[in-house]
Amino acid sequence: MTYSASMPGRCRQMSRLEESTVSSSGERPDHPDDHRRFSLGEDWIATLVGLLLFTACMVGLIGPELIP
Amino acid sequence: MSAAGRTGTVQGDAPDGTGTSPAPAAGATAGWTLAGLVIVVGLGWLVSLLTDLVPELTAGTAVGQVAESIEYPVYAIVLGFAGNAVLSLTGVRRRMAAAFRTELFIKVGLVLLGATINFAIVVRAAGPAVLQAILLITVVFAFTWWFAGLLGLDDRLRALLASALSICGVSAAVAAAGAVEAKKEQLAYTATLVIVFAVPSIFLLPWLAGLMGLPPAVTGAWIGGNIDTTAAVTAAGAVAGEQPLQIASIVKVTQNALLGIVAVLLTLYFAFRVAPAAGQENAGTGAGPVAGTRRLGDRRSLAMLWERFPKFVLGFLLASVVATVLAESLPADVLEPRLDAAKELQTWALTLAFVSIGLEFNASSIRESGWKPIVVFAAATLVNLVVGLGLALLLFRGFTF
Repeated sequence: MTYSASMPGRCRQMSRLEESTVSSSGERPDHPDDHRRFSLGEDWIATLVGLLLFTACMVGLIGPELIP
Repeated sequence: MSAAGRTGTVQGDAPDGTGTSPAPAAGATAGWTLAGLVIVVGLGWLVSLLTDLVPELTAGTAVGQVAESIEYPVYAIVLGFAGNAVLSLTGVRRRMAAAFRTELFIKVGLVLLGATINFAIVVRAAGPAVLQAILLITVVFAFTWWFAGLLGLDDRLRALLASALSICGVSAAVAAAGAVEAKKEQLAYTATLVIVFAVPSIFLLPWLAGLMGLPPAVTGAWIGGNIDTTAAVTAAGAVAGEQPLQIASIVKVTQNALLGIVAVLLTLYFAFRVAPAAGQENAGTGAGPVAGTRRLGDRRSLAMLWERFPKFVLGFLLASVVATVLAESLPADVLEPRLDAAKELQTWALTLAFVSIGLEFNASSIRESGWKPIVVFAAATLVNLVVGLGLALLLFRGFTF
């Protein structure tokens, strides 16, 4: 891993820590989008998309003839 | 493992093809991602074409019977691998990698799958599924932890391997990595081992089940309790048949739901047993976070339980409940076309997921791991197969649809 020479020393040290470990602290970097506090995780996106498609099928918006 | 300039999220540093959302390479843009999506959808369309045409064209020939038995996941994974080879040779695969969203497609597909499963089946299967999950997770986790310790592997790697094997593959490894503060390299090759072992299982387990003449529910329970990733379980279930797929999905999502509990227990173990020793070593150097403050019942532990709970299970259950209620209230000629549409979309979502499995596969980081984790994984997989078969026979032998 390479680092920008202009990075402040403390940030460089923090980056060195994050380089080798997966932290379970508040800055846990172990899920997609997890570094953004209010981002919708992949699980929720999949759930919402799945339910939207299911609803569209159940109300007749999407019929089998529309699906290739 | 390159992560030039990135402050190293686990996802950001995981090599392609580990089953996690792959790290976009330098030069990846929305344009390349869109191109990747076009390729995934295009290959998915080709799968649909082959599934219909090949049995038709080979009917009455020597290969006709074989062609008839090849299900769409087989075409999808093979085409995914073919696409992987072409894109890797042309050097563009990593730029498109953000489009290969196996987990997202699988979860959408599983929510839609819920609509095809009568909730009464979910309820009846839940009890044996929970019991199988608890017993299997305990046995496989304990064996893997013990055997990896015997071979002298680091405690953190033991936790990753044991979690990945016993619960739900890469997601479990990611959760465990966070809980025990593992090194990213350890997570990378655990994730790769998961995929390397899961992909052949997609074809092997349904074949073995057929050879042994297992009933559909036992087949599904064996598949769901054995194969490490949800995507591969769904693929194997689809190969085995509709009823095995239903049970495999229920068993797998039940197992996945227990991930949060294991993650909390791991965190507590490492907080109480491992981290204080590490903290004493690191004291005065300023290096390494010390995780010695977690307590049982701690709010963060409870938050972790919810955080690790697979949310798509809620969608799966809701779809099942709604479809079951509608089955009682709508006439069959009104409901059936709507359920058919949901099923078609489910097949599409799963097809895209299986194509993505092939496209993102990359076993290169396994060379870095050495032979010991591979031996542990192989041995634990064998134990999982045997114990899983026993439990599936015991708990699902009398299950009727």
